[in-house]
Amino acid sequence: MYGNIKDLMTLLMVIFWLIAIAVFSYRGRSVLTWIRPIAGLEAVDEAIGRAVEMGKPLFFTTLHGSGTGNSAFVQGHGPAHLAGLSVLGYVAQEIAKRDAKLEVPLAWPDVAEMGTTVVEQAYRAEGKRAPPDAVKYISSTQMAYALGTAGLMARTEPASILMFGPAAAETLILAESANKYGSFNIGASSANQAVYFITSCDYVMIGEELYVSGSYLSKDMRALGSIKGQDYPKLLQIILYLIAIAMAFSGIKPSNTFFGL
Amino acid sequence: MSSLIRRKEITIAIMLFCAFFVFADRAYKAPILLDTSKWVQKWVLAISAVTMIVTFISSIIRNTRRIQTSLSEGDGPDAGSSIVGQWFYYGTTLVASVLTVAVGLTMGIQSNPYQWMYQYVFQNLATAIASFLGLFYIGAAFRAFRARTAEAAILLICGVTVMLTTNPFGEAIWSGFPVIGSWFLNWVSIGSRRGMGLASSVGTVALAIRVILGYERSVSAGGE
Repeated sequence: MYGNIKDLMTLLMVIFWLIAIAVFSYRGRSVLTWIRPIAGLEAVDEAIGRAVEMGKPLFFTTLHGSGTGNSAFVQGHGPAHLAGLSVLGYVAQEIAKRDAKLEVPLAWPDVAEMGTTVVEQAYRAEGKRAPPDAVKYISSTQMAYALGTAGLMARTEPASILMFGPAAAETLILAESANKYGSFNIGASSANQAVYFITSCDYVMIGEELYVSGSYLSKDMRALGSIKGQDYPKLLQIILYLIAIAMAFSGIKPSNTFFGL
Repeated sequence: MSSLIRRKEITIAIMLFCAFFVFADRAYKAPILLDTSKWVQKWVLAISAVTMIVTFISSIIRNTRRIQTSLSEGDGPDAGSSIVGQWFYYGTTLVASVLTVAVGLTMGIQSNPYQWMYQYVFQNLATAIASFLGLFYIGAAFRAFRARTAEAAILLICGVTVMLTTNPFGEAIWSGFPVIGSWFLNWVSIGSRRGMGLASSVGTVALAIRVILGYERSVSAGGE
């Protein structure tokens, strides 16, 4: 009836995460002292300002990831796309406020539909109507998406290009194309593809920074509190890892059930 | 009724319901949990299939509108738009999409015409684009390896050492290159990759919880 102990441990860990984040979010301002500034996210306003000043569009994409099919979520890229769309909400609202142009080429049908809703909500929050073709579904096939998006870059020559999402083989094509058109580029990727962004973008965010982007930009005390809250489960995990390393060095094999969360 | 459906609490309740069953069936193998979890996951597939249809239709509408705009010589709401005169691109997309769907629906995806389009048009184009990556690699490597700063110089040394490790010339020049290069690959590179992967995993869990709790306003707040 019961699953294995390892799954139970994972569930307990997730529950601990849930409680920590919920408590810190609820307490919001009272627990919030300081969050490390993230240069790439601080530069998002600069990217928006550049698009406004130059009268050229701001380009936002959540990239592709890998695989084919109908759904980014089925392919396992959901969280990174959600993180990207969360940033899109902020960017679209600022663009709507300043009457600038926005181009959002997206790779997956489900992400494109979500992106359309996010942009519509952002414009509605500013009392405006979203441009009907700001969000574009390009293709869920990786190279078709890369070529379509690079072609769109060539035709529109955007002032700024923001790439927040699960990056894979399309990264270098898009980052190099962005670099070629002299735009202001910010890239955020989960792990392996960050190196391509480093060579081609003005600002880069790596790893966990992508996932906190939306909350960080929202300046909402509850969301910022949740970022603070996630530090404590992380601290617990680091302590567990250090114990496991110490055990390994002492000749004791760490239990995979307990430490292999 | 519409405002009730669009409430934030409804969205969060649906997400909590789905997340609970998908998590809980891993820890407790009760039939009701397993069945509900499978049912939720089937819905994900169903919804993604529906979004494909919706996106296809909106893509057709959007490209048709863009062809009209690009042929309008700058009249109308898109006057001065950068797409004026570019009807060819949108026309190609439109024709290719409609033709592929029409052939697939009428003759089946195993039919010769559909397979021909896939294997001899689509695959070749995709492979050609992927092969461009080599040129992009060279361009990016050239910029990254210019030793203008101390960090770039370190990157250059590491990069050249690894290159000499992975090709046979390195070992022929000096037997120490593979040893140093392997150390970079097995210790420095793998260690930092795993560190970044770990941090990303931690961030993913936290993001999922924030979305479920409704703190990521753009993607989880629902309508109102």
